[in-house]
Amino acid sequence: MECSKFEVSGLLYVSGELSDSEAREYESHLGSCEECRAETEAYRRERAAYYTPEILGERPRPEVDSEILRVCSNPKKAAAATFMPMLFLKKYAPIGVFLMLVMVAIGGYIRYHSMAADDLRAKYDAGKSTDAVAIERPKTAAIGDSAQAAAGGDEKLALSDSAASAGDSNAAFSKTRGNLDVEGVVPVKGEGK
Amino acid sequence: MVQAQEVTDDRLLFDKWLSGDPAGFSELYGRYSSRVFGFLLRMTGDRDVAEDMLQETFLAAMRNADQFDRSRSLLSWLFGIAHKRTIDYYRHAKVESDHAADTAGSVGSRLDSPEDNLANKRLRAVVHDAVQTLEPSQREVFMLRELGGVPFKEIAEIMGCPINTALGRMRLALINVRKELKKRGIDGVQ
Repeated sequence: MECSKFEVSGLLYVSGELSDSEAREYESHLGSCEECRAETEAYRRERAAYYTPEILGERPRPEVDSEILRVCSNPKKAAAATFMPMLFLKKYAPIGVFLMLVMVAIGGYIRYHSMAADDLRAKYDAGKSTDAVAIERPKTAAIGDSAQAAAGGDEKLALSDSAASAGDSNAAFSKTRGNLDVEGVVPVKGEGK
Repeated sequence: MVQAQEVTDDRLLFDKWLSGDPAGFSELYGRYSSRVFGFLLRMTGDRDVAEDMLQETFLAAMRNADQFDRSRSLLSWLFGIAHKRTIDYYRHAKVESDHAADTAGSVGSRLDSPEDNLANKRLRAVVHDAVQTLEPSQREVFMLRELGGVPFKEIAEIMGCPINTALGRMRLALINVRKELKKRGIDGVQ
């Protein structure tokens, strides 16, 4: 039949938690109970060989040691101190890095496209002003023509007069363009379409 | 006798630290961190979680230094705090049911320290595997007693159970660890 004394007294005896009188009582029991004697001896041996801090203990990573020593060494600072949350960092750092890369990529994409849009706009504006000049040409030609007609054959004089009477730069420009048109340099009417 | 001397030293070091000398804490940390961490690692099965809990344990101890009962050992007190952390962990993470499956392969693989020789490494791995097979309440009593040196009376207080329950769990833990060691080729100590 199994003796149940080891489960209570035996464990407390090996752990040194029995009073002197209780310990003596258990020791006298060991003299008569082979089972408890064997169990007690086996437990003692196992404790000495396997259940030691060297076998059961573990070391954290050195950076954890350093962090704890940094934070806790000063009792005044320890009250308000916080640790670097290792698990949090390990868990969420990759997500943070990923989000950062996504943001950089989005930023780069937007930047690239805004630059491309600026280029297009600049080209468009440049093209528009060229067209505007081109569109004006027939007008100046017309002015030139009208001046020519008004002058009744004396082109230069008629143009000078029309420019002088207009009294502005457009008129002066028209005069120049008119001269060109007269010489037949810019046949632009069809290009504006 | 040795244990009583250690307790006295602990108190001196603790007071040294409280008076502002960092060497007091460094000494205590060097003395007990591996035991507390070993306990946390066995209970959680996750090295990263255990490292965070180790930090929390020491920080909580330092913040509540005035609550340290000087009639008890500092290590028991630290293990009591560590135990509360594991309870919180189980409560929030709800990992108890798949605990064994999660930890079976992951814990034993990172046990080595540089000074370990091959035989020691193997022994450590085997003992750790054997302890890891224990049901959590048995494992906790076992680790508190064997690694923390916490008396059974205090284990019962920490775990909130009668002392006979704690002793019963310890007895089962010893039987089961012995069986597991035998399965792994370690057949008792002569």
